Amino acid sequence: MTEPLWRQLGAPRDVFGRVVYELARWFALAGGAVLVAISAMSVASILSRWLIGRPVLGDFELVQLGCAVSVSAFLPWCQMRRGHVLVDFFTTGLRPRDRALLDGAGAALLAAVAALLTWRIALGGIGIRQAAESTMLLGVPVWIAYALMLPSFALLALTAAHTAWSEFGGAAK
Amino acid sequence: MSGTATGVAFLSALFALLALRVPIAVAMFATGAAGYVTLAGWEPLANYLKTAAYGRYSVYDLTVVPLFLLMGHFASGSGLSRSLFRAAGAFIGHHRGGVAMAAVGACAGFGAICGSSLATAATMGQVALPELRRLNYSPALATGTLAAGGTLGVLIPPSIVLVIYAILTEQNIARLFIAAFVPGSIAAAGYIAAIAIYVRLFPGAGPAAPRAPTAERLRALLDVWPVVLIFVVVIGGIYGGIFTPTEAAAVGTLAMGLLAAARGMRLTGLAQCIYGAAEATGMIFLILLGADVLNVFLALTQMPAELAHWIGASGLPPMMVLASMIALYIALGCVMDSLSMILLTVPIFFPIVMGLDYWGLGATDKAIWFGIIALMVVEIGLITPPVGMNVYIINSLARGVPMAVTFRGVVPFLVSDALRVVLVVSFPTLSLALVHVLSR
Repeated sequence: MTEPLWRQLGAPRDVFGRVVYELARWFALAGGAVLVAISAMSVASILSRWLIGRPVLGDFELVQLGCAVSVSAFLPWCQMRRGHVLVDFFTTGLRPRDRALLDGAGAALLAAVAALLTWRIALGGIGIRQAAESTMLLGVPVWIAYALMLPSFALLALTAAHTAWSEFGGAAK
Repeated sequence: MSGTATGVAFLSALFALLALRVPIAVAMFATGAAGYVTLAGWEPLANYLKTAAYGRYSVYDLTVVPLFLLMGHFASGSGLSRSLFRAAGAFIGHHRGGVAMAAVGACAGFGAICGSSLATAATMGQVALPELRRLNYSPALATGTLAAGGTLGVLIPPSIVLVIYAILTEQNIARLFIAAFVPGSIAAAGYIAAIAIYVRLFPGAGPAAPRAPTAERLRALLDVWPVVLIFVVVIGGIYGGIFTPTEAAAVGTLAMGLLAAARGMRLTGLAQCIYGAAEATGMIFLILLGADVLNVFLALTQMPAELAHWIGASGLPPMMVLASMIALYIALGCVMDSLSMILLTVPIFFPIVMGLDYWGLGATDKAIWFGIIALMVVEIGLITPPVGMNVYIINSLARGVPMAVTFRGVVPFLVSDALRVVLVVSFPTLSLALVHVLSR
């Protein structure tokens, strides 16, 4: 069974927590704004295709670039809301303290994975910039998408580190 | 160690991590990465990870997922769920069990603009449970109806699970959406039939509401026509091939956002919708990334191909293989969400199914047919005891109803689900006929 998605979660009280929470919130809003912009652009493209027989140039590319950036920006917020699902079927009988330890370990592993990805995406972006890879129609350099995704993965690592830290702290009490 | 042995070893490690509360995405990523390093070394993995995230998140077909999720949140933020429930209630509420049937109808209507089962259950539960309680419906019937009705969110297109299946198996999303239409409608009809039989057996469970006057019916209809219009444009546009699923989702998101604004959604409401969509999207996309790493590793072990070959050569009856898969899905559904199940199993099951003969279907038809079956059985997991996610959501909304009562209430719907699975398995044409007509 997975964690309930609907439970109410308040913002963390500690300074580290408040900072990552606010950052994650603004990242989510920015991602949402990009998503709405993608929709508007797609609709404009469809209308233009109907009316003057020509879509917005490079509409598919813009959707792809925007989606990659926007979806990445949602990852830290999901972690702040503890929205990344896990199986809790086998551990419901554990003491809360042991469960907190396991959750802390899981979050620490997520922080490590996110940090690894941040590092690799940074290198990937540099490589793509050197290769001067760009989109087919508009010639948008693809490294820009990498650069915009990078802060999201770094923030994901920080939010997960915060979860691990607060779970371990809670278990130690 | 042979490839297959390595695959089995790391899959076992994956299940161990899952049991220890490691987030599903992280468990997939970690075991996939460790297995990859074992077989091929660090260098290829390090290179793969450079482009893995952008490569996955910029897939054009996948962009429908955040868009449909945002659209679903706009729909619930604008109070459309209430309008749908009222409209359905105004027309059939005066029959015995009618308000529960209206809730199923509203779930189906909401499912037609929302691609997620949990969101449908949560949204419709908030709207319909107080009303069912006010009318003295039995708690078992009320909560069972809504837990089961929530699964219509996924069965009736658009469906997030189906999008993921389409991408994993390189099938056409539009065709899968078309294929889901008849089985999804059968699901809604089956649930309504289940309620009708239930209230015949237990007449006190679902008292009839007073008949709504014609004026009220018209007013209720007036309130829901925008939803109907958006559904027709979005799904009709996809079915008719007028635009791509992504474009349809963009149109739907914008239209639903404007409609929500017209119905009084302000900036705080918009932010709430974005938070909700962001959380659901983040969950799905992290799992997608983890599943990618796992699948790259599994492909390297060649285990799926070997397994498919072995089962194909073993002479096991294809229907028995399918039945075991369905049983495994239902068992897994007890502990996992549907999307993780699809991502975990399809890379292994799909080659097996494609290697066997079912009703003499061609490759594309078989892929579509199996997709619809998988979609239906993973949803059954959401309402099966001992743990079913929808049941938990509805039960937490209906304060004071014991969990056992809700699970009892779900039983008639499970019977209906089982019958439907048998139907769809036995008559592939239920899924395929509309596809053949529309793609000609």
